[in-house]
Amino acid sequence: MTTTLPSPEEIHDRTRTVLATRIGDAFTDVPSDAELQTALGERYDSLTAMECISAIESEFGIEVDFVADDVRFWFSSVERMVRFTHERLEDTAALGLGS
Amino acid sequence: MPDIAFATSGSTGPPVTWLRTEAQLHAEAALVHDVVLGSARFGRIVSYAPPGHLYGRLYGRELPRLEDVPVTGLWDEPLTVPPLDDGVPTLLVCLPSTWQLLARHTTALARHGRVTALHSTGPATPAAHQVAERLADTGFRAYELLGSTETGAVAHRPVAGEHTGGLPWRLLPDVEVLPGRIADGAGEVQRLRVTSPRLARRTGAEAPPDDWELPDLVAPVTPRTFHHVGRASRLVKVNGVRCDLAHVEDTARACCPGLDLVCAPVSDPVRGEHYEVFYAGPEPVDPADLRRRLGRLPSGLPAPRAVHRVPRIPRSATGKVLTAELTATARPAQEAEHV
Repeated sequence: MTTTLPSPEEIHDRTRTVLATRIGDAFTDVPSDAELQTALGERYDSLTAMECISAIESEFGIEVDFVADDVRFWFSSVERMVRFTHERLEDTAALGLGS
Repeated sequence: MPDIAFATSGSTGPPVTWLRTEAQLHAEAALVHDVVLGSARFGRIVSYAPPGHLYGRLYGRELPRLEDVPVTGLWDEPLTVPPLDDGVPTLLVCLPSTWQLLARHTTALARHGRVTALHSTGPATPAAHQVAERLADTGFRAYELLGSTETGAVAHRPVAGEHTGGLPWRLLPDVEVLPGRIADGAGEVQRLRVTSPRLARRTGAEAPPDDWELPDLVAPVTPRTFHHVGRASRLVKVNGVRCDLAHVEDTARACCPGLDLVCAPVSDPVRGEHYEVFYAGPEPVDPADLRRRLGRLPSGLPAPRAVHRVPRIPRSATGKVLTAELTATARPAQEAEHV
């Protein structure tokens, strides 16, 4: 069975959509390479980050391990989230775990 | 030893400081340890509750001192997983948000088998009930406390599984219930009015009050058990931070003149409870401008989860805001303007 992985561009767009839903219109002008905590202040606190992680897991069907994965690093900017998600999807496909 | 101060900040009206004696703190920590936690011996306490608040102070500082147990403070690190790989009997001092974290690690919690979770500062979240359900047949235990800064813990119960239904609350042994204000026509639901040796003393007062009426509405089951059926005031607890919506509205209206603005309580899967702002006005108001104005709310007051611009605020003939209609009309046709 062949699984088509979403491109980094598609992951980027879907990630931004997911974050915009959680964070609101304040997110619209935040560049993808910006540190979200710096750009959004209290609007991207740890609990909002947790909500965003859950939403990305649901969007892409991946799992984030709060022990093994450095969530503070990988979920600090959109670009890093895209890299993390893409690599996790590639790993999943390589192991034949994808749907 | 001077009395220890706990402020209710400005989020429920004017800032009030409540004072507790060291003996009261020790008595409460010891009582909950004995009655609720079954005098369990812990090798580690991990606290997600800040020690500046009563709950965090009691179980992240007083109980560890009383029992000579090392404590790990994670109140600034809500995403950090507690140690679960060494089998040390562990007490987790949880906030509503902690359960999202625990729900990700039920396998490790089940394998550990000697973890007890204590929950307070707000209603148990859906994730809390999921965890309790998944771990029902393991060594994991979870209990919740009901109380306030003014009263300390009043009652306790196990955290119920998703399909267990609401268990009644049981009064702590040193708490007595007094007749509270009746909240419904049948007289069964009333404000929870209590007396105990652990009531706090308001700053400036010589002694604690004889009794204290909480905003919680309860329906008695037996003389020492009750069901919690809601709150009489418009208090919500955003991950444990008290927030009186009437006070928020007064403050927000003062900084947003000309707007018809109300706050509606909403459930929040991470924080337990939250609130959203709905507004209408003759002049179109830029949401970004409104957010900036709301950003000047008193410090410590949680910002609203979202702001919705609506054509009008629906009210009954007597002027009461129709909250259900308000929240229904705002979703999903209108996109939330988050702040």
